[in-house]
Amino acid sequence: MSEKPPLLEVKNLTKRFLLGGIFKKRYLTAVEDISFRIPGDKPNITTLAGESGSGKTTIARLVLGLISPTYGEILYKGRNVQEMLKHHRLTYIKEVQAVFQDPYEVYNPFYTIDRFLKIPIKKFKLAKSENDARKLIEEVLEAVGLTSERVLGKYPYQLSGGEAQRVAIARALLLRPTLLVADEPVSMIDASLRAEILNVLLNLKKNYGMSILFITHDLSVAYYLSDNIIMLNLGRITEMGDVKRVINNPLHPYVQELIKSIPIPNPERRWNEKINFSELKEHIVVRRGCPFFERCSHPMEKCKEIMPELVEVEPNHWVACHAITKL
Amino acid sequence: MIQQLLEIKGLRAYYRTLVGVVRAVDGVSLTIKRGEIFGIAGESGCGKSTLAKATLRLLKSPGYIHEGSILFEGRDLMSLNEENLRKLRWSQIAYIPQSSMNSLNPVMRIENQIMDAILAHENWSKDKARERALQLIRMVGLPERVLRMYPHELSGGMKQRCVIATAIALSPKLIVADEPTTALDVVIQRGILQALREIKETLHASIMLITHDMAVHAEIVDRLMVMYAGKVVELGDIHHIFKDPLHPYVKMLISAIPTIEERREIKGMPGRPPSLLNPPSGCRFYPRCPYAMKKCSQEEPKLKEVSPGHFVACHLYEGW
Amino acid sequence: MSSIKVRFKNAAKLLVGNKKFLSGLIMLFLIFMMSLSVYIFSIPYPTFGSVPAFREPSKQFLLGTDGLGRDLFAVLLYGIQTSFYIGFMAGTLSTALGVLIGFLGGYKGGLLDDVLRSVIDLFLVIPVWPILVLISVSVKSLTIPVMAFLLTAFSWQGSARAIRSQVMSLKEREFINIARLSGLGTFEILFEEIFPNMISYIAASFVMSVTGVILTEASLEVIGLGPPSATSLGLMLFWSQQYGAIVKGWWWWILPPISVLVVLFISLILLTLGLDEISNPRLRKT
Repeated sequence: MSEKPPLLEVKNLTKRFLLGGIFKKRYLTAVEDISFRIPGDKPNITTLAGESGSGKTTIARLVLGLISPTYGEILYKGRNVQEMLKHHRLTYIKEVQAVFQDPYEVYNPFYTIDRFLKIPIKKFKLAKSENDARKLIEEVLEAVGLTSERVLGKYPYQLSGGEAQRVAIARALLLRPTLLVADEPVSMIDASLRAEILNVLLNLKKNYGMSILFITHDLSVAYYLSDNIIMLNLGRITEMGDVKRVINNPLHPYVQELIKSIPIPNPERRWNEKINFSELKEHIVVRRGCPFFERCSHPMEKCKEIMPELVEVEPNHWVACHAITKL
Repeated sequence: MIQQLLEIKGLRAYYRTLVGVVRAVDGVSLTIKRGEIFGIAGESGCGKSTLAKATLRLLKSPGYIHEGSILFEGRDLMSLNEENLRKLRWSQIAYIPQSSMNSLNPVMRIENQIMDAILAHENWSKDKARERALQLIRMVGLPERVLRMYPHELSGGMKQRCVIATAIALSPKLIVADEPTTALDVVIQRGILQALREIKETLHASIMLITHDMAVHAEIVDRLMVMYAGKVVELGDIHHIFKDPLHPYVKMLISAIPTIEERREIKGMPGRPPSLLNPPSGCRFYPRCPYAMKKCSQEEPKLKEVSPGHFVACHLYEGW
Repeated sequence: MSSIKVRFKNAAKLLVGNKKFLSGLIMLFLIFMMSLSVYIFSIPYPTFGSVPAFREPSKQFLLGTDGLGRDLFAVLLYGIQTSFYIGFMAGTLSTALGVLIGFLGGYKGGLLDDVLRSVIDLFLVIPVWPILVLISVSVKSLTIPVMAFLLTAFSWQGSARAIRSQVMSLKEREFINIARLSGLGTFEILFEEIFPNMISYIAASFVMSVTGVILTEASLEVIGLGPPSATSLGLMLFWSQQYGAIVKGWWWWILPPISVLVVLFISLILLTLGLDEISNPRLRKT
C-alpha cells in the first residue's frame, strides 16, 4: 500500500443551486454526498460517467474551483482546494488544468489561437524569451500531433474541431499539470475522429505522468481510456471501481441497464431482447431513498426510504444498492 | 425487374456561397428496397444531410440540385411540381430532421400536434385523427397520457418519439431520419432505435438512417453506404462491410471506434477531409490514405460492384 | 498584436461596405464640415445686435437675420457646432459611465451588482424629461457645459443596462473560464477578453446615446429651457416661435434649423441601423 496521499479526494460533496423566486426559494440538488478518490501513487485515468443531468459536469467545475461546494470538501494532495484557491490560486491552477466539451467555445473569437497559448506562458513565466516561448509552444503542439505551421496565426473557426480540441489540450500541457479535468472532450467530435484525441490523452498519461479526471456519457470511450470509473445517476454514485470490473460485471440495476444499451459496433452481436424502459421523468421527487427507485426493475421496500450506501463488494468494486449489498 | 422503392442516380447537390460553389453531394447513386433499413454514414461535412434534404426536394437556397434523378416508386421527383411533392411528403415519404425534437410546438398538446399534421393532409374526421394519434403513440412505445401533455413536460427521448409518431402518421413507405438519436442518452437511444426497427416490421416501411455513429448502424441497419467528401466510397450489406471493409477510409473508420467488447487499440485518422469548394482531382481520400498509389491522385475511382451487392470506389480493387 | 491591426482593418472594411452606415457617416460628416466652414470663410460668431434685425434673405445675409440682430446663416452654422459639442460630449461621457457600471456590475455580480443594478433601475424608472424640465427651470445659470453635464447624468442608464446584460451573458462563455484558468485577473479579463467582443455593442450604444442627447437638448431648447444666450438649433426654433415667424411667413427662420435637425437624426439613425446590420449577420442581405 502506498503512503502517498490520494491525488484528489472528494468527501461528502454536495452542491445545491438556488432557483429563482423572492418568495418561494427552490433548490436544485446537482450532486449529493459524493465521495471518491483518485490515487496518487502513479498516473491514473478516472472516468466520471453518467447521463446528462447526472451531476458530472458540476463535479468537474467544483474540482476546478469555478464554483464552490454547498457541503463537503475537496482535497488535492491532502490540502483543501477552497483554501488553496483563496491563498495559493496560481499554484492550484498550475497543477490542475482543464479541457472542455466545445472545442471552439474556449477560444475568444476576437483573437487568433496564438494568444490562447501565449497567455499561460506569460502569466506563469514559463519562458524567458520570445524564442523560448516559441520552442515551448512547438513542443506541446508536437505532443498533441500538430505543428506550428498548421495552427499558428489561425482563428478558431479556421481549425477543425479535432484540431481546436488538441490545441486546447496543448495549452493545458504547457503548465504540466498533475491532474487534467477533461469534461466531455470528444462528445462534440464525430465518433470516427475521436481516436486521435483519446490517444493524445493516453500519451499524456504515459509520457507526462498526468492523471486525468475524464467526464463522459459514452461508456465505450470510458472503457477504452480509463483505469477506474465512477457511475453517476441523478447526483449520486451508483457504482464505481476498476473499469473492467464495472463494465464487464455491472451489479447496480441502473448500470446494468446502461451497459445493455450501449450500441456495439458489431452487426453479429445485436440487441436481441426488447427492453421496456420507463422514461417518465416528469416529477423528480426529492426523496430520502434511492433516486433510481422509480425506474428500478427489482425495487425493495427499503429502497423508497433509505439511501443505499456505497459498499465495496469486491476489491475496487463498489455498489450502492440494497438488493446487491444485502448479500 | 422489381421496382425499387427509391433510386437515386448521379445526384449532385451544391451550395452557392460568396466564395464559390460548395459541392456537397457530388455524384451519388443508391437504391433502397422496400422494407429495409438503409444506413448512411460519414463524418460531418461529407454530404449526408444534404443528400437527405435533396432526396425530399427540401433543399433551400443557397442549396440546389445541379443534376441527377430521384425515382420514388418509378416516379421522377425532379419532374414533380411543388403541389404534388407536398402530397408525396408525409403520406409517402416522411422526414425527421436533425434536432427535430426541439421543433415541437411548445404551446400545443402532443395530441393536437399529431392531429393537426394528419388533418393538413387528409380529409379525416377529428375523431378518426384522434384515434390514429393514440395508435401512433402506442406504436412508438409511449403511454397514452403523453397525448395530453405539452412538450416541455417530456424528456428528450419522449419528444423524439412524438416526432417519430407524427412522421409515421400516414404510414409512409420511406422514412428519412437524420441523426435521430444524437444528444440522447444511451438508454433512450436504444429505445428509439428499437422503435424504428419495429416500425420497419409493422409498416413494412423502409428507413434511410443517417448518422456518423457506426455503432448505431451496426445495431439496426440492413445495408450501409459510407460517404466521404460528397462521394460514395463503399456500399453493401452491413455484415459484409463490418466483417471485411474494403475501402481504406471505411477500414480506418471501423478501427477508430472504441468498444466495450474488448480493450484493443483504436487508431486515429490523421488529416482532414478536403475542401468541397475546389475538390482535388483524383480520389478525395488520397492525402490520408495509407495505401495511396500514384494513380489515386490523378484518376477518380468509380463505384464498382466487387462482390454481389458490395460496391467500393477504390483503385485497389481494379482487377476484382 | 498585428492580428489586432488586421482585425481593425477588417472591421473598417466591413463598416464602409455597409450602405446604411456609410451613407449615415457621410451625411454626418457633411454637416460637420458645414459647421466648420465658419473658420474657412471667416464668418464671425453671431453676437446679439451685430447686424440689423429682421432682414430677409439676401446676398449679404443668406438666411436673413433674426429679431435679436444676428446673421441667421452664422447662427445655423455655429448652432450645428453646439449640437455636435453637446451630443458627442454627453454621448461619450454617458457611454463611458454606462460601460464602467455595466462591466463592473455584470462581471462581478453579487452585492456590487445588486447595488449597481438598483441604481440603474432607479434612473430607468425616473421620468427623465420632467426632471430635466424642472432642473432647467430652477438652475440659475444654465450654460452649455452645465446642460451637457445634466444630459450625461440622465442618459447613461440605457447603455449601462444593455452593456451589463451583454457582459453577464459573455461571462458564462467557456473562453472566460479558460481565461480564469490561465491565471488572468478580473481587470485583465474585462479589458482583454470581454471588451473586444463588445466593441460593436458599445459603438451602437454610443451612437444611440448621441442621438438621444441631441434630441433631448433640442427639445428642451424649443420650449425655452436652454441657455438663452447660446447659439443652437433648438433655440432658433424657440425664437421663431416667440416672434410668430410661421404666421408672418418668415420661412428662413424655421426651415433651415428643422432641415438640419432632420438630416442629423437621419444620419445617426442610419449609423445605428448600419451597425446593427453589421453586428447581426442575419440582417445582412446576401
